[in-house]
Amino acid sequence: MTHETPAPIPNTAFPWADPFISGLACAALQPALRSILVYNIEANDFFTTAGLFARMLHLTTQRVVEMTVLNSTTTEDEIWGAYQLQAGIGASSLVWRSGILSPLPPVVKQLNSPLRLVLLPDLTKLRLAAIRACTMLIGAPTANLERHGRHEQWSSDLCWLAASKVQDLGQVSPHLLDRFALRLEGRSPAWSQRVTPLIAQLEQAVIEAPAFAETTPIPVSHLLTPAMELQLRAAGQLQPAITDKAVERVLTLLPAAAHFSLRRPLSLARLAVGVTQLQGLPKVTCVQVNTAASILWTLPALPVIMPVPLDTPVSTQHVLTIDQESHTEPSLPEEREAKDGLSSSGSTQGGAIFGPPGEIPIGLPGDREAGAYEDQPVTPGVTPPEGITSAPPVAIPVIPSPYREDTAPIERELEPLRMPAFSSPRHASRGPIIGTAKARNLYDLAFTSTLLESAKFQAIRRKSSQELVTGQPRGMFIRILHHTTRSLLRLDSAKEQPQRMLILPSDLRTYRREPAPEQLLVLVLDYTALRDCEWTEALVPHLNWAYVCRAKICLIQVGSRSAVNPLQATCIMARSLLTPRLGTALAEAAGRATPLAHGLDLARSTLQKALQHGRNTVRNARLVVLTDGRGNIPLEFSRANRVPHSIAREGIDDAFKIARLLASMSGIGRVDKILLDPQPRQYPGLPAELARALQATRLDIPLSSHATEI
Amino acid sequence: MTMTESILSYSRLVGQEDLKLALELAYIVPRIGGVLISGQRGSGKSTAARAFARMMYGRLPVTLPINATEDRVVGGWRIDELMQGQAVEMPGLLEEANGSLLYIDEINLLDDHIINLILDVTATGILVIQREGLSHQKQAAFTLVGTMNPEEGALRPQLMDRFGLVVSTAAEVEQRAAVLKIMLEFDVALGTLYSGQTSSFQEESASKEEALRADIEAARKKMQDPVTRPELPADILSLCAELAKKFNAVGHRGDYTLALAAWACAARTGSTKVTAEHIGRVAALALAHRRSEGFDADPLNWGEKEIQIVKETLFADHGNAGNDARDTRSNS
Repeated sequence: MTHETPAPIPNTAFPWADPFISGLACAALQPALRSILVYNIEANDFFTTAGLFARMLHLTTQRVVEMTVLNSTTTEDEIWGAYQLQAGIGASSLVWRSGILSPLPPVVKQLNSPLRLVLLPDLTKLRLAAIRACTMLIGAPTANLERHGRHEQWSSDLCWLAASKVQDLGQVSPHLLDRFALRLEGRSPAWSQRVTPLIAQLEQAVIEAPAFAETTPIPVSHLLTPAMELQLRAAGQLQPAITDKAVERVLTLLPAAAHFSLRRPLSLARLAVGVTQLQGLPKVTCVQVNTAASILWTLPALPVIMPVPLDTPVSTQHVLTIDQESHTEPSLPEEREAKDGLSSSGSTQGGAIFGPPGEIPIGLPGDREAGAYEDQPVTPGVTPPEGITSAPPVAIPVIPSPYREDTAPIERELEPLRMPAFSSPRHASRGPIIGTAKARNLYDLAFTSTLLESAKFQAIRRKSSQELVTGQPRGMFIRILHHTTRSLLRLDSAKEQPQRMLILPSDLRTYRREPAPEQLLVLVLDYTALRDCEWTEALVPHLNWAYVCRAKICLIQVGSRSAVNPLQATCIMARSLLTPRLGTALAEAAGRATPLAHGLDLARSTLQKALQHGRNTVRNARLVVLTDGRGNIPLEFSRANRVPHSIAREGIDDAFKIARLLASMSGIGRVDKILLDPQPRQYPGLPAELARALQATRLDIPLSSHATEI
Repeated sequence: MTMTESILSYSRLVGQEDLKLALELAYIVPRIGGVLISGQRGSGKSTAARAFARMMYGRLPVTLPINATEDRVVGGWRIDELMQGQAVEMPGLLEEANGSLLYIDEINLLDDHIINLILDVTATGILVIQREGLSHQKQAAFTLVGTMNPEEGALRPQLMDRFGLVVSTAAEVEQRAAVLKIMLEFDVALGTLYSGQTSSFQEESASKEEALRADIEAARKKMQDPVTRPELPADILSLCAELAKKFNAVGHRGDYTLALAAWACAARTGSTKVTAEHIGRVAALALAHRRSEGFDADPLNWGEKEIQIVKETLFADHGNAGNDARDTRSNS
């Protein structure tokens, strides 16, 4: 198959201009940066990134890189290793199978041991065992395995590449997120770059192979040219030192805050060291720190970092010259012209524009004191020398912090890394399996684990039992086996039956399951009806109920000001009442529209799914609707996201229609329905009508004091 | 490069004076009990614990990971031998740590039943093994060092009580630059070692560490000899009891641990007599987690109010605010 040779990268451009690629390269050069979290990346691009990173690691370490995937089904035994049964009962019946993250067998270590790159395609979908393993291993210099008779301690040199959507970060423990040293914004290659890998894949005839297998070679030559590979290899030989000014710069860009880890400035500093290695320079200065910051904050225009003659016209793509011989900090050129395009280009290397979204940009120290710097020219892409601050840029775009978890709404449980307590026997068979444990009763037995546990002792039990049968009791298993196996063995030997497996009560293992909530609270909250009543008091009994019986919570927000789409209701699911996001959601202010019909429809579909679908259906539920009944958005307009031409009764009628459907739903008998009436002044009978349609119990909410005074 | 070389030297740890003091005191007088290091992410908790163990014991600590199974904690059989028909015991981690240091990282994430095993052993100093046909009782006296991030869950009060000293760490703002420089220098040193060369950074660290180790070892020997150990006056013991009472410390363990810690502190600083300053220096470490529930919402919070109480109790008669009863903890 013929194909076009991809266009070569222009010689005048710096090959590491792409912040994503250069970020990966720096991580390949710096061992402490080899735990990377990529935001908002598509699955295919994630695996391409994995292939690229693996190639870079190979170049910098000269080791074979093996990729392995931790996904939503990876169990604890797969992670750490477990005994595996083989055919036959005897010495070789049980063999230890190493886990994905456990140390390599000694035989493999003796050869040039491979470097393992662990891929986590979706950080939010990992099982608890995998999350705990990652928390233990990422960034730790040593690791320990103490399981099922195995005792190992080793230097962990695992590399990590994980992905997550930014809006899901609230589901992940910040303790785990903090261990990822490098954050990168995911990217898709340009369309022009898609042709080459596509052709390569077709030529490799991988059409019938799975979409991704750990051994499938991933074409990355379109992203990493031979020149770049040479440069990367050479960069690994350098060990630049960091100047004090550069350290100060790092700490200025990432100022201290109460809950911010020191790992953050350390990662930025290491990234700067990586940049310096790529540049082939002996020292890390503020220029490299700024470039590293550009990578971390994913600034749009990463300046080309090459030494240029002093008389070369300055463009937005260049930084100021570097005196390579003396390697001093850069000096401000004598004549520059301010570029009008500063704000549109977004070139921000000179002015630091870092901070959480919505906040006033920090800028460089002293930038806010504009009066002192009016006579200083604004030069795009120029880093001022040490001790001299720049004039403030013309317009300052605000760029999100790379540590998105600081602002993500919290959607995780209170203690997300803890193993759940053992369930009572009647709940034993609910919830997904997260491990096994010694059985204390006969509920929910794990038969395979029991057999594996028993297999360890077969040889010694038979030996001791044979001694017992032949009348020469010896060994400490005698007391245990005497009453349970003696007759069995005599019978076996007499009738020449195949030897049976000897299982004792101590071998029994039970499944350990994640608790599955059996109750569900669906709360439909109409924010536009809360003004004149003591609604928080009215909700307390229901929230108490949810807390005591550990119910799952579904909060349906109708007419909240923060709604992304005011014409639609919003549904928030939480595993328990203790999820912090619920508190924030309950405290929101009222918006202008009331999509009550849509809110009730969401409640209906939630209950339908909870009561009817899947293995882990809830046993009973409670629906609490707090509204004055005055929905003003018809259901079709909510669904189509169209503003209605005029507001009549359609919104209310639709709400009633949905209420009647809800009341007649299959399984609704297991749902307690309550309507909390805020006693509105206008249309005071409407909530009662809605309660009748819903076949719900109506309860009045006390009016607030200012409402009663009027 | 060996595994122990990948840990930063204890002599290179920047700041965290309370943390270092707690580890040293627990080594000088093992009767103090263990050290719980609680703090935010990236504050050097695990690094300090591992580095200290390597310095004092010459190897990495016996480590109990959070996913350890019961057979490895308490002891069991060698599986490979068992499958050959031979019953050979394999000691558990609690037995291996006897006379040494047992380190548990992320202790608040440990399984409840493992915690129960540790509670039993630390209460009695005896490891009772009754499982899989084994029936033993063994000595298991070790210094328990645990680290935790309180954001991920609190520790059960019964387990917290097992720790003699509790340290609350936080990233020290004024030390950030120094920490960064040291870590980056260490990165370079590791790279040098990995390529098979010697590192002057590591050699210098080893030399400083040896001097530190000798000092701490000397303090421990001093405490073991009734002739050389610092004098512990009766009025100092009264002060310990009074201070514990001021903080409504539950039981008598608080006064006892406070006295032991002050004594060890005197030995560490080369003093011949325990003074109120020594008590002030260790008060937060010994008492913060023993206050009754009504005292403060956060058991590990030790703020200005607590510092003032210590000063008033210890130095009121002298009218002299002792500097060492200072902010041994910053407000978290």
